[in-house]
Amino acid sequence: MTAQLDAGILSYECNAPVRFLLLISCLLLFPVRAADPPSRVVSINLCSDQLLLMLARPEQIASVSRMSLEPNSSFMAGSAANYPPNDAMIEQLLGLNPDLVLASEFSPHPVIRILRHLGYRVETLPLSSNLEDIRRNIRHTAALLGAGDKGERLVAEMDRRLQRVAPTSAEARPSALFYQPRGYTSGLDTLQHAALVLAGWRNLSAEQGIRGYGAIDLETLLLAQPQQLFSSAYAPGTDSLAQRQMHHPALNWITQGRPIIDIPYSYWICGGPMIADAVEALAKARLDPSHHTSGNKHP
Amino acid sequence: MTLSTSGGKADYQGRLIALMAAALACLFVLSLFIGSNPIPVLTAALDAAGDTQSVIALILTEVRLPRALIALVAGATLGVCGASMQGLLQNPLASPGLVGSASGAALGASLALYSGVAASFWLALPAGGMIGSLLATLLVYTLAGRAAGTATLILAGVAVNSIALSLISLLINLAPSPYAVREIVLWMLGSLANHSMGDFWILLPGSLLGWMLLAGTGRSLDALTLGEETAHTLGVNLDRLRWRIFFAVALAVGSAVSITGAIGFIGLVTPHLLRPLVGFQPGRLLPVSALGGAILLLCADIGVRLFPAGTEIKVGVLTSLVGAPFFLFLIVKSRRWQI
Amino acid sequence: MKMIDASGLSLSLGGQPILHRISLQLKAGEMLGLIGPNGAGKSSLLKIIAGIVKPSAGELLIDGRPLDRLSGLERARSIAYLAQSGTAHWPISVARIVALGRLPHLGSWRNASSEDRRIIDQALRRTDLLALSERPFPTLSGGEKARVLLARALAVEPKILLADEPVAALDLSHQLEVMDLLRQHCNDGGAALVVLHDLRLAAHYCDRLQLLHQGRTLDVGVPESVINDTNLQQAYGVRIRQTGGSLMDAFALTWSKTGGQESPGQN
Repeated sequence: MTAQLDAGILSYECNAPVRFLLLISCLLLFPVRAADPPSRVVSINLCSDQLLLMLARPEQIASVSRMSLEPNSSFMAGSAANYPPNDAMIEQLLGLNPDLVLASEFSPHPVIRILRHLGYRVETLPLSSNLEDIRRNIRHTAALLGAGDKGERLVAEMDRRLQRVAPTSAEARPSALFYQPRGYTSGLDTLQHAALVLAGWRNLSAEQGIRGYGAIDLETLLLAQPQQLFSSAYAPGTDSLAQRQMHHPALNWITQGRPIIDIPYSYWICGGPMIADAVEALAKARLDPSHHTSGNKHP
Repeated sequence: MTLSTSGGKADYQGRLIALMAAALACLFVLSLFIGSNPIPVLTAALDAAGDTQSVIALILTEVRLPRALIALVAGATLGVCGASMQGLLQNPLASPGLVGSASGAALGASLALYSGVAASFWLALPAGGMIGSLLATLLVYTLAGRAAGTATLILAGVAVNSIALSLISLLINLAPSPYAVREIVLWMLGSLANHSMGDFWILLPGSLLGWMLLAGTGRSLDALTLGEETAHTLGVNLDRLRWRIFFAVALAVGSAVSITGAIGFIGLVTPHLLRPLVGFQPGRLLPVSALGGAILLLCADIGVRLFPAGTEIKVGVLTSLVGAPFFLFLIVKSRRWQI
Repeated sequence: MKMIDASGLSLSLGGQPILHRISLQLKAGEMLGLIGPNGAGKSSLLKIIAGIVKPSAGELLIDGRPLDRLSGLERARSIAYLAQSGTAHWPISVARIVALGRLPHLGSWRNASSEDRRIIDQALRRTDLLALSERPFPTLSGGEKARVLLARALAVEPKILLADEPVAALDLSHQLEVMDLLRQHCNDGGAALVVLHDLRLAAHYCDRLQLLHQGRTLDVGVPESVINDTNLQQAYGVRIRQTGGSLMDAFALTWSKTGGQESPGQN
C-alpha cells in the first residue's frame, strides 16, 4: 500500500530529486516490516531456554519452560527464575500471546503443530552434538532475536576459552569415559564426546564403537581400563539400584582409587557456550598431577 | 523278609545329594567362564590367587565370582523355601512367589532403598526385605485360612501379589531418584547382573539363618503328611512349626530378594521336579531342593549370558519363560489329582 | 495306675455343647469301646484324649500325669492316634508312612536304627502289608489304606492306642485282623480306646463299653450289661428282636477267619 501511495505522490510531483527525497522520507517514516526483533518470545524447551536467556534482552522474554528452573540441568537457572515458567501446554502458551516460540526438534509435535496452525511463529532448534552445531545454534538464535552482535560475542568468547585449554598435539591423551547409572555412556556425536576431545582426553566409548548414547557393560568397561571416569549426577542425594552400581568396587580399582569426577549436567546437557565450562573442568582433571602416570598403569 | 527301608534309602539319598553337589560345583565353575568378553579364566584365577593385580583377575573376583555366588545362594534359598512352604501347606503349588513372600520382600526392600534409609544404614535393605516378606506371607496365610485348598491359596496369593506390585509401582513413581522408574523391572523380574562382593555379604547372613531354621523342620514336615491332627499326635507343635517356617522364609527370601529382585518360579519348579527322586518325602526334599534351586538358577544365569541379544536379559525373564508353562501344566495336572 | 483317668470333661465348639462332664477310665491291658449314635461326641472325646482338642473343663491324667504337662514327644510316645478318615498328602510309599510312626522316638535328627527298622517291619507284617510296602499310598484300596495307617500307629509302640472307627472300610477278614491286633496290643500290656459302630465287634472284643448319647455317658460297663434294650432304644432308637437266651445271643453273628480270602468254590 505504501508503494502505491509513493507512486501516486511521485507522479503528482514529476521532479527527480524531490521524488528521491520523498522516497527516503517514506522509507524512514514506514520502516520495512522484516527488521523488527520479536518482543514476546516464549521458549518451551530446556535447551532453547538457555540460548534465549543468554541472548535476548529481558523485555523480549515472555516465558521459559519450567525445566530451566532446575539448577542441576539448567545453566541459566538463576536468570530463569525472573520469568514466568510454562509447561509447554497450549492454553498457557496462548495466554502468553507470543510473537515467537522457540522449541527443540524433540518438543512435542502436537503442540508445535497446533501453534503453527493457529498462526504463531514457531522455530525449532536442532540438538547440538558437536561444537559446530553449538556455534550454528547460537548464531541462528541470535539472528531470530535480533541480537546478532551478542551472538558473535558469545561464540568468540567460547572459542577463546576453548583455545586456552586445548592440548598441544605432542601431549599424550589419557583415556576417559562418561559413565552414568545403568552403564549409559556417550560415544561419538555427543556433546560429552566433543568436550572430552577438546579437553585432551580419549573417549573410550567412541573407541568401543558406540555412536550417540548407549550402554556399556561392566566387563567391557573394565577391560578397556579407563584412566578416569566422568559422570553427571542427575539427582544428587537420592538412591536407587542404578546409582548404587556406579560405586562397584571394581571401578574404583580400575581408576586406581581416583573417584568419579562429577561434571555438572548443566554444562553439557544442552549445546551452548557453557560447554567451555565443561571443557575447562575436564582439562583441569587431565592436568591434575595424579594423572601423570600415563603409560605404566598396571605394573 | 526284612525290609531295609531306611538303610537303602539313606544311601540313595546320600548319593543323590553328592551327585547334585558335584553338578552344582561344575556349573559354578562354568559360570565363571561366561561373560560378555572372553577372558583367560585360568590365568585370572592364578593371578588372583597369587595376589597379582590384573584386570582379568579383577573381573573374575569382583564381577563374575559375586555373580556366581549370589546365584548359588539365592537359588538355594528359593529351592529350600519352596520345598518347606509346600510341605507346610501340604500343597504342591505353594512357593515363595505364589504366597507373596517374594513380592512382599521386593516391596520392603524398595521402600528401604528409595526412601534413602538404606543409604545410611546398610542393614536396612535386607531388613526391609525380611519384614516385607514376613508381612506378605502372613497376610496370604490369614486370607487363605488354615485348611486352604489350592484355589483359595492361589487366589490369596494373587491378591497379595497384586497389592505388593501396585504399592511398589506407587513407591517407585514417588521416589526422589529419577532412575527409580525403570527399576520396577528389576524388582519384579530379578537380575543377577552388576553385583559386587558387598552385595553377596549383605545377602548371606539372612540366608544362612533361614537355612539353619529350616534344616530342623524336615521331620515335622514328614509328619504333616498324615494331616495336621495326626501330626500333632506325633509330637509336632504346629503353631511353632508354622512360625518357624514363616520366619525362616522371610529371613532367607527377604535377604535374597533385596539384592536380586523377585526371581520367579525357581521355588515352584525345583521341589516339583525333585520330589519323585526323594520318594515324595518332604523332609528329604529340603536339602535336595536347595541344591536343585541353586543348580537351576545358575543354569538360568548362564543361559541369559549366552543369549545373543544386544542388551542383557534379566534372569527372571528366562525363569518365567520356562516356569510359567510348567505352572500351567501343574494346574492342569492337579485337576486330575484333586489336590 | 490307670492309664487314662478322665473326669468332668466338657467341650463346647462355637457355642455348641459337644460333651458334658464325661468321665472315663482305662487300665493297662484293657480295651474300652466307645459306642453311640452319630453326633454323640465319640470322636471329640477321642481327640481330647489324644491332645488334639482342649476340653473346656475337666481333668485328664495319662498314667497319673496331667496331659497338658507332658511334652509333645512324651505324649507322642505314649499315645498313638488313628484318625477316622486318615489320609496322606503326598504319594509316599507304604513303608515310609509306617516309618513315620517312629518319629516320636527319633526326634528331629536321629536316624532310624536297626531296632527301629525291626519295629517297622513287624508292624508291616502284623497288618499283612509286607507285599505292599513299596506301593505309593494313593494306589491302595480303602481297606489297605486303613491298615497302613494302623500299622503306622502300631509302629509308635505306644502305651495307649486311640482308634476312631478303625474297621469302617475293611472287609470281614481284615476287620477281624485289626481287632485281633488291637486285642493283642492290650494283652501285651497296652490299652486301647476304640470308637466302633459295629456293636457285635465291640461286644466281642472290648472288655468294657462306654455308651455316649448327646454328649453324655449313658452307660458304662461290661458289654453284657451295657447292650440292653433300654439303652439301645434310648441311644439309637432301635428295638432289637429277642429270640431267647441272653440279649447278647439275639443279634450275635459270629464268624472266624479261615486263613485268607478263598475263592467261592471252596468251603
